[in-house]
Amino acid sequence: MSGHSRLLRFLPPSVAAALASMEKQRFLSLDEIRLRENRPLAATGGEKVLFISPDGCFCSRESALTVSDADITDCLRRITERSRFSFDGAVKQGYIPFGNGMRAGVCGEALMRGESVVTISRITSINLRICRRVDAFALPLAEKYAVNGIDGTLICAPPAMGKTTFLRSIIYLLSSGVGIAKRRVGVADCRGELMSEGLSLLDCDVMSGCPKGYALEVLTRVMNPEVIICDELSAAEESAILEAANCGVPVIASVHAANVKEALSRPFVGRLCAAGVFKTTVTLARRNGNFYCDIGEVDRP
Amino acid sequence: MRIAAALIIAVCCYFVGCSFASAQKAACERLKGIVRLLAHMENRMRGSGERLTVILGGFCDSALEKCGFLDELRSNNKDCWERAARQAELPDDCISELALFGRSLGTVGLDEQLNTLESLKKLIEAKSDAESKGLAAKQKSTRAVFGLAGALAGLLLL
Repeated sequence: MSGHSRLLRFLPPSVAAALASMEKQRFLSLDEIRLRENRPLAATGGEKVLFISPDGCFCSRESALTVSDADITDCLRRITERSRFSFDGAVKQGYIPFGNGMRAGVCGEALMRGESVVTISRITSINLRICRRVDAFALPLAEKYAVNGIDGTLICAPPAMGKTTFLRSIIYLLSSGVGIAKRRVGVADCRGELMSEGLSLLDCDVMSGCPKGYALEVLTRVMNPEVIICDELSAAEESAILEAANCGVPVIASVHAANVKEALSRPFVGRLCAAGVFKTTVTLARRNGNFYCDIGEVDRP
Repeated sequence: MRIAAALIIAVCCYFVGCSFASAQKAACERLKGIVRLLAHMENRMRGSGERLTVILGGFCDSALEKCGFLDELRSNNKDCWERAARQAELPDDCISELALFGRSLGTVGLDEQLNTLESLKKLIEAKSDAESKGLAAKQKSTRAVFGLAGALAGLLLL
């Protein structure tokens, strides 16, 4: 069952019915479903924002299906399996992992205690991201590794260009030995997004549900990995990445940036590249629904 | 013949009284079972962050199993708490409180959930304490009333 059809059971009946009656190819082209309280049902396909009518057609904003507050509550009940209390940490950070590798971004009214956010007490928008698996997406990178060996790799792309899909692909290729000899792979999957769609059955070590920095530290220290893979780097993980690289474990990580130049302009990425942690770069692009990757090298001063 | 019939009536009435008394005890046990369930939920929510299905799946209580309360809860349907409370033949005020709790369960954050759980637990606990306090005397008088009624009916027959 694909991520798209699995998604339907997490949606309120009116929204699920609209999507189920949508033409299959159109439905498969969607990346995100957006539910906003008392607003029209919207979806994202590539870079387009699309509105969806009750009978599953793309339509104008005015004729789109309106999502009610009861729909939002119902959707939350479904994605949390009636256990919102067990997602407090994630909700606080604006997301809810669900359905084996899918993720819902949530926002609304935050509840503050002093200076810190306790939780999002009233959720008014849900963005359901549909996970994909394209096994051969990272094959050019695996083939490069087979010739030159694995080195630190930075994957740059703006949101919705397939960073997570690319990482899922490289996890699959390295752990199952496709295009390269099988490797010991450590995965820092703090949001539970990477190990989806059957990847949980692969021979790799996964640390999830904790900050990436901690996951990187534990994987490096105790699992003796040959490579560590993690999603969406931030400045908070800089020292853990450096530590892993200094222990001789290359890190493959993604970062939000339109291109390598933009990524290097972020101070922590610049410092990591200058320290020689990342030697290879991958830029992702998407044209007509197809994913493309461009492999390059970091220019060191 | 009449003596035998009178004896049978008296004994039957006494046993009916006994069964009423044990039903009173079972009702009290069910309330205690709900308090145990709420305490279990509180501990698991606080300690392990598990989902509701896992939390409920990991709880056993003979009083609640017997009356079908747990089976109804594990169905995880909408209004399952209200239906479970009705199935267990709980007092009306407990049914409405459990129904209210069931509707909010799983829709709020951890702190709020623990607060509602705690206040419901206190309420059911108070109800259960009140019921168990007078239970022994109540059971005794039920058996005695039915026994005496049976004896009276037997005497009238004679």
